[in-house]
Formats: sequence, C-alpha cells, structure tokens
Amino acid sequence: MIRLNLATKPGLQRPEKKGAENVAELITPQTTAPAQPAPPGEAISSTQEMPKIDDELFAAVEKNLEMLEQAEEEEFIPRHISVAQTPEEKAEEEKKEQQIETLLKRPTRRKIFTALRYIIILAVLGGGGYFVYWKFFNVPAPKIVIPSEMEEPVPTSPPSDSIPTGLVPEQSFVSSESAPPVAEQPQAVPQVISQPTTSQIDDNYARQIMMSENALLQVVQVLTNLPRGIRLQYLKCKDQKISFIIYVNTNDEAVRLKSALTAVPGQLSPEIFYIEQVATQTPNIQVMAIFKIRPPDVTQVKRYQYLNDVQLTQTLWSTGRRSQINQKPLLISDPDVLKIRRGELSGNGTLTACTNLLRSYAQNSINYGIDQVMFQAPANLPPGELALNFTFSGIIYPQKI
Amino acid sequence: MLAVSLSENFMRYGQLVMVDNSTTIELISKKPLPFKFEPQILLNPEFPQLFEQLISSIRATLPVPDRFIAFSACSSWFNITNNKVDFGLDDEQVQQVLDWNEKQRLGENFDKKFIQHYPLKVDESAAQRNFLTLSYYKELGRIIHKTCQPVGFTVKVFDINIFAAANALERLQGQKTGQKWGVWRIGESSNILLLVENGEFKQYLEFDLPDATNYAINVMSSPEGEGEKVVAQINDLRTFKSDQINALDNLYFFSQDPDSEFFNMLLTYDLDNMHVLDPFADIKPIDLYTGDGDGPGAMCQFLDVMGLLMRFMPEAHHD
Repeated sequence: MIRLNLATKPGLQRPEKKGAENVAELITPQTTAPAQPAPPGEAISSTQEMPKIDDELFAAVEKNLEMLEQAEEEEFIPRHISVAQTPEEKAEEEKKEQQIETLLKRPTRRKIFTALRYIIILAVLGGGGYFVYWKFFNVPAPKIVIPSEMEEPVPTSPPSDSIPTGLVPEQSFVSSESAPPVAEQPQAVPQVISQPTTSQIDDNYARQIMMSENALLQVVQVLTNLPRGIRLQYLKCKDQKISFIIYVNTNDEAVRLKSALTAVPGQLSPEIFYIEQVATQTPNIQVMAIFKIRPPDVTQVKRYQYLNDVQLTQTLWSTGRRSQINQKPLLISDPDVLKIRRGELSGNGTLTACTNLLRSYAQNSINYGIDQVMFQAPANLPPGELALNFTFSGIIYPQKI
Repeated sequence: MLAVSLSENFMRYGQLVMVDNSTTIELISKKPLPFKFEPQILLNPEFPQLFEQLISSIRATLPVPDRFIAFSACSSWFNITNNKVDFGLDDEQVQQVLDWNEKQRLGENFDKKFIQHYPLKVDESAAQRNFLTLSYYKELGRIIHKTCQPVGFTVKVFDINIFAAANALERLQGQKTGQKWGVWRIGESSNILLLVENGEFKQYLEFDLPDATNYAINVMSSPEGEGEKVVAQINDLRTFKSDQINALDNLYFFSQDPDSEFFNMLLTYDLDNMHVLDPFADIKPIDLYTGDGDGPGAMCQFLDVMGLLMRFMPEAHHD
C-alpha cells in the first residue's frame, strides 16, 4: 500500500522507492552525551539543547526549515489570477484554465452523460406510468373475512397444560411479511402437548435440541446469578458460548458472580472474565466475560413432540404470556414444513420474566430448539427491576417420516 | 527516530534506535494534550508554544538522544479523495487536472492548503489512472516544522494516523490480510474506515453511529468500493441483526479510546475475520506504556505509532 509523506514537496508524487533513503542513519543514536531533562512544560532553548551536528546535518536542518517555503514556490499552475498580473500573463492563465476544462470535457464522457440522461428520463416516465396504474387502475384483491365464530379471544389467564384444539385465527400467530402462510399439514397432527410415547422427530435433530436446551439452561443460570442494580450492555449465547458485558456496583459483586458461575463443575468454562473499574456512570465496575458451554451427554435421546406451525406459534406465544413477557409472534423463514427452518422470537420483559421464559422454553420438549439468544437493555430504562429486550433465534425441525 | 501520533486528545509516541545493526524500540508512551487537536486550534495564538513545550518535554525524557522525528495526525485535518484521470496525459497535465479538481472542492481554501497527489496501482484493464489526493492547512505544517527546529528535531515524515496503522498491519500480517481487507478506528466521536484491495489503498470513510439503530457516512473518498456495505455490516453487528462481515476478507479494528463500550463489546465477539492486534506481540519495546492495560485491546492504540516506526525498520526485522 502507498506510504504517505506530507512533509515533502506538494503536487504529483512519485511512488516511493524501497531503500531510497539511508534509514540506518536516521535511527542511529547520536554519539554525544544524553540531553539533560528539561523541566516539564518549559521550552528548550536552541543554545542549550541543540545537539552538536556536523556541517552536512546542519545543511539538512536548514533545508528542512525552508521546506514549506520551497513547497509553496513550487506549487502548481492554476492559481487565483492576481490583479497585478500583466494582460499577457492573464491571457496565458485563462488559456491554461480552458485547456484543463477541455481535457475534462472529452467526447466519451459526453456520450456517457447523454446515455445516462436518457436512462433517467425513461426511469422517470416508467415510474410515473406505474404510479398512475397503481393509483387508478389497480383493483384491490378481495379481503378474506374470518367468520366471527372462528375467532377466539386472546387468553388472559395462564393456559392449562393442554393447548386448545381447533384452528387459531390467523392474526394470532403471523403478523410479519417474513412469516409465510402456513401450509395445511399432510397428516393428522396431535392437538395437545404431552410427552409422546416415541419421538416424533429424528434422533439426530433431537440431539441438537438437547444441546440447545442445555445452552438455554446455562443462560438461565447466568441470569439468575446476576446481582441486583446492574446495568447490562448485552448478553449473548451462540455457538455454545455465552458472552456478556455488565456493570456492577462493587468489585465483590463481580467476584461473587464469577464464583457462582463457575461453581457448577462441568457446565460453564470461563474463557475470559475481566473485571475493570471504568470512570463512567455508575455502576462503574465493568465485567466482561465469555463462557464456553460444556456439551451435555446426548447418548440417551429424549422424546420430542412434533407441532405444526400453527400449534408451535400458539405454544410459544402462550408460554410467553405465562411468563408475563411481551412477545411478538414467531417469524418463520420458510413455508415448507418438510425442511429445517429458522424461527425467530423477539420481545421484552423484566429480568425475572425473561429468566422464567427461557426456563419454560428449555422444558417444552417440542420440535423447536433455540440456539441463539440475545439480551440488551432498552435505551430508556424504566424504573424498577432490570428490563430487557430479547431476540431468540432457533431451528424448527420437521416431523420424522 | 522519534515517532509521534497525534489524535484528538493524546500524543502517542515511540522511539526506534539502531545499535550495532540491531534495531530496538526503546520506548512507547502517551501523553494527554492540553488542547483538542482539531483544525480550529490553528486560531489559538498559543498553539505553537504549547506544541513546542510538548515536543520539548518528550525530548527531555527520551532514553536515547534523537534528532529525527516522524509525525502522523488524525484524519480530521485532511481532505482525502480518490480521483481518476484519463490515460495519455503527461505528468504536468495530470497535475493540472488533479489540482483543478481539488480547487473545485476547496474553493477559497485552496490557496491555504498543501496538496499532494499519490498515484495508485491499477489493474491493466482499468480505463483510467487512479490518484489519491490529500490536502491539509499549510499553517499546520509550518507550525510543526518551526516548533521542532528549535527543539532539535528534523521532521522526516508526516503521515495520517489511519494510513500509518494500515501500513503497520500490512507489515505485521503480510499475506494473512487477504485480498480485500480494512482497518477500522473506533473513535471517540466518529469512526474511520480504510479499505485496501490487492495491496493498494481503495477507499476511505468517516462515519457515525449516532443512535441505537442508525449509521451516517460523513466522508467517503470515493463512491467506488465496498465501504458503505462494510459500514452497514458494522452497524448490523452493533444492533445484533447480523454477526458477520462478509464484504471483506479481514477487518482489523482498534481504538484510541480504551474505555469505549462499543470497542470493549467487540473484543468479546468471536468472529473469524475480525481482529484486534497487539503490534508489540513479536517486537517487545524496552519501556512500554501499560497505563491502559497490556492486552491487545490496550496495545492496539499504538498501531499508528508502530506504522511510523516500521517505515524505518529493515523488512527482515519482523517478518
């Protein structure tokens, strides 16, 4: 890459040649005795501190002193035309300006600009035509009206162990464009969540869900051990690692947190745990940590129930309600139920509510494994218990065939 | 050789010495500035005296007497633009075109500025020649030279911090940087990004992250390049929308504000192609400033100082 040196001449530069300058001379120390330190803040007079230098060096210093003056003299041609100039000089100056402008107005460039002009005009006309069509000729598609008897009120009390059967209204589970319409399931699906006698998803997928559930439980462990009155910058769990930055009030709290998180052997292994006092707002003890989650034993595969998209959305949503958090409906990446798909949840709630939510998700035993967790504090923190915004991203696994 | 990097609030410096054909970094340190180092300081009549006092106080504490100095300054002092010129023009015509372009940008400030144009390497298929044009107030150069002379220093190099940092990374990483890479300075008030492609400077950007979700690009040396995409991906990283920078092979980041929350958060990220480097991992200075800690997160603040020093180190020293 280029090397700059703005202490040389102005104008067009030449590429720097390697070894052009004898660098050894520049970094070889002087043979004279070291200079006496001057009192701080006091300028050193040239007679006291100037090193003894030979004639050649003196010439170099002189040259350096005049560098900028020389540079100004060598500067390029287009200058402001002075009133003191003679008419001949002025005419010559204007001629040079015209030459530069001619250079810039080359025929190729003119052709490109003309083509660009036509493209812009066509784009404007096309856009206008589309707008007129959309405004005056586009007939809106008929709306789908859901019969009133199909609608169910939003449950306000914690649901019972079983999920109500039957269709749920469309609005209750999908509101985003990224959540596609849900396809009809090709076969009969169970209507209640109960532990199935055999797993309804493939064993390999079941192992991945077990890993996700274990990670969620480790996040729960971190959240439950956070001291009171903290400020949380972020907490993230991904790729079987938990990382966070929080601010606590005292050094002791930070040390206690570390002890608590590493107390359970074989669960969380600290890769980084920094405690540092920072001179910003209180709380001012910064704790920065990365923990690796030890993989659980997945030789004994658990049984998981397969839920279709409607049931899954409703289950997750009702779990959120039960944990007293505000949660948006599940966003599903793809309508094809035979594929492995991603599903994302987001919302907010208090620290306790979020902890309960994660614990519940870790115990659902369904075909959705949350493998990424992100918590952040909202920009304007409400008073009271620590509030958190969250985003959970997970995998929806297909039914075993 | 004394190398001094000037940021908005600090002066960071280091000394390189050669004895018996062996180079050593004698000292790496930093000093707070008694003024905010930004172009408005030129209006302060006390600035030259304050600057001279600073250089004097550093010189007085050097472990080895020195007489040459290399400076670099923060980007806010410079106009940085990419320009293209058609093939077929001789050097004089090229300079006229580039000066004319710069004059249109700078307007009445044109005569107050010191201007340079650096030719950039281009591939053979390119239709035009590329140049990097830089300008800064002549008054700054004048003050630097005239305050260093009485103190006993000859100015050998004047660079820009982010370019010096990029040069250091290029030397430290070698081929490991990949074809397209960048260096990002997480600033106290704004962020700076420099992109390199095929071993040559590609694009320079300044951007802000003004609130929790948005970004604003304030300066872009050229509309060509992946800069805007990289800034958008950095913003997504900040807002947790995404956790990858795929517009580049590698992105190196550093901060001269070790207390920056965002910088500290990034240190905990575990992304394959984002790195923070300790420039002294292989070359240990004899006297190293550790007031902000001794990990890569603290040491990376001296990347630009290292870049200046490396200009005077033999290539084989660290490869």
